[in-house]
Amino acid sequence: MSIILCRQENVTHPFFIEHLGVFVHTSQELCYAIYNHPILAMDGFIDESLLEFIRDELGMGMTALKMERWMKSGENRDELLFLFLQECDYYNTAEINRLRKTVSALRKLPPLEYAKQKADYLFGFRQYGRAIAGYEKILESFLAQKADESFLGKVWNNLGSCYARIFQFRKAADAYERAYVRLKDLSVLERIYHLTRLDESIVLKERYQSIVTDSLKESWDEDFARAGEAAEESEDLVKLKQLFEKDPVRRAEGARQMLETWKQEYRGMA
Amino acid sequence: MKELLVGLDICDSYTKAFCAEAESVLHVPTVVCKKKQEDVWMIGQEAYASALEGEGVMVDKLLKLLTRGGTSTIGGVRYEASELMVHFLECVLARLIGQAGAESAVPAAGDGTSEVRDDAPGVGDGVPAAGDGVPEAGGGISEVRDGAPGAGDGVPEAGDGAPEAKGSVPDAGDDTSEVRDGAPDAGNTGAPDAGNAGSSDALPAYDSARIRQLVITVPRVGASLLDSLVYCADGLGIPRDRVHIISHTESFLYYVLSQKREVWNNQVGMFDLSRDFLGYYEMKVQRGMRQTAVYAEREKLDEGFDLDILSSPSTMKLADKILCACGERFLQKKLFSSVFLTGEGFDSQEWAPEFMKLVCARRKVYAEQALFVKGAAFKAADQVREKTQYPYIFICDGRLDTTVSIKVQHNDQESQLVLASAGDSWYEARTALEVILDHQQYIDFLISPPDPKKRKTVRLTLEGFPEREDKTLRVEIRVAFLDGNTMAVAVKDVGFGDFYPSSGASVRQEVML
Repeated sequence: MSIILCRQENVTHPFFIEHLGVFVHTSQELCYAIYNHPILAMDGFIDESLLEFIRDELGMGMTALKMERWMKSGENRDELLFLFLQECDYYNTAEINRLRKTVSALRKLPPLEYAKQKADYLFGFRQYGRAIAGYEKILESFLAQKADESFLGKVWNNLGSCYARIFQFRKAADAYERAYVRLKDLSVLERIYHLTRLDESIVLKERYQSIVTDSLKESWDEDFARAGEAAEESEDLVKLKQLFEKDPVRRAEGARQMLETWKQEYRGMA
Repeated sequence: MKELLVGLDICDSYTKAFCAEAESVLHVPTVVCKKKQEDVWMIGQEAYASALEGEGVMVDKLLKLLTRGGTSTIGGVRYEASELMVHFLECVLARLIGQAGAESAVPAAGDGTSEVRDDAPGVGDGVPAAGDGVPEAGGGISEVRDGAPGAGDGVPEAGDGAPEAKGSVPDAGDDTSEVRDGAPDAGNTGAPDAGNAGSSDALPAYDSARIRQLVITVPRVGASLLDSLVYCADGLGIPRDRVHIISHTESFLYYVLSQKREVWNNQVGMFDLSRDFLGYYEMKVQRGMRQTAVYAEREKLDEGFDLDILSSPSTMKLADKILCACGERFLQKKLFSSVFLTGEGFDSQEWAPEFMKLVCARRKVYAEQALFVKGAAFKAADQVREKTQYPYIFICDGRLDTTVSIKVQHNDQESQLVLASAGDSWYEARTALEVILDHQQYIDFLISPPDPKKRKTVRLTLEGFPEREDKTLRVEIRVAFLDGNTMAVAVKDVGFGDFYPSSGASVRQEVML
């Protein structure tokens, strides 16, 4: 239990962390992003634009200079993260050491596993476009030929989920199918089945019809209906309904804001 | 044009203004008069004359009116007290600027400036004559000095050991006297004092740019009065960073500390006898390892009496007895370096032989009528110095006697972050900071009064604040003081950027120090 004094930082141009789709306005937020999402901050995260932000906006010229010199020295770039965290005094030494261990463990992962974790992280932050790029890179890698089927099945499954989230249902169905071939997991088939409900042009292939029994279909239909009901009550939809109950002027303003948010979100996703 | 460092002593009955460049202390009754048909405002003798002739309407007790936030209607127009005060102060400052002049030919204070004083005694005049039962001035035991210490031989001079009075600093040791422009005569309250100079013809235009620092001293400081005076300063066009408001107690400290150290080595007492007030001030110095603290207190005495009684020999004795009783109560069994006498009642001390005998025993006694305004002017001068000449912690009316801090984590260690220090002006001690709460939904404020035994911790629980994951509850803490004993704290959730937008939760609490 403690209180941390925040530095006085008059940031006029916040820094946009593309991978997370968020703007950071303070050194604490930047530390938080690094600490909680190290995998996104490990490769090429610290670049000239970030150093400029640290120097000019956060007013940490000396720190930026130290980081710049470290970068030029060609030493391990992960150290830059710890250097920055130490300078900010937001995390204590014990916490920074914990992060050091996490980063070290991530670095020890096999390259494909590391790449998958990174893409999974992006998926978690609804950065579907970037996650797709990550998964596809894994699948195209020459290393993938030697990877086990289970691993590749998971990658295909996650790729399918990314496509489904950006409404590219045909690509999603194709990816799920490749995942099913490798994983033989019924839940993957269920996803394909649900896609057929969303897009009539997609049909469950003949060879899976025997697996998907009527009782299974009935159960999946129920799940689909429940998901639909849950969506009806989702917070976003409630907000939308409330918006349309407002007078025309406020509705128009609210609609403009909501549309803007959606556009931003979609750009981030795609 | 030289910028002025102005001290201004505003009381209900009188106002005094002083700056080093002026010939003398400007002394006017705190009244303002407006011509009925014209937008012409007057002060001093001119105001009384206009009111008596029926041309203008006069408003008095301006300070009380301002404290109450009252209004006054003149010629069918309702004026807020602050507006009246602005007009009054404009006239006062214009007159002071006129005295100071562009004319730097005016001799600097302490150069033997000529006196324009028709009712107050000159240097040495107030020394009780030998044979009156009072030790003779210069008799080796005690002295009564009219004017500040430093006037005359054998008297400590300002600037020697004590903060020095240099250049534009008003010299405590000068023999500057007061111009009592229109001040009511003793025993003739409110009546214009005949024979004083200062007509409106000579009044130059008020120019706020001439005021480099303005230090206003008032008998007691309160939040509403301070707000009103700051508002008035805005009305005068003086930037806020150039305006400071202090209590008479603080002025007393500035004045005394500007004298030679032997004047304030031990305790210093002061009696203030005015038309509507009898008070006792006491100052003591506590020398610490790091810094020296100076404490001053003011006590209003119930024994106060109307100065009219000084006009008859029989009642004079009664007044002397009253003061003697007060003197015995405060001065016995304590070691005083000096005692000061101020206020209209001490224009002459002849009416109080017994009291003078008492106070003059084993200590130096000084009479200074313009003590508060000069104290304010000393502060004004100090404001523009790179390094203060008063490196002391002032504990008095208007200043905090308590330090308020919170524990913060810094470089893996816990340390105290001071939000307000003992000695800070409680009115100006406003702090706003942002902190991050790590695993805690409360803030502990450590209240450290001068007595370490009374140290306490006050916990402010942040009810209704979101319980966020580690280190993402960022709050803004605002601390201000409603008076010397009450701290107001406001805490607001300001969110953690795009990760956690503000919940809008806030809490406000008043803490008794």
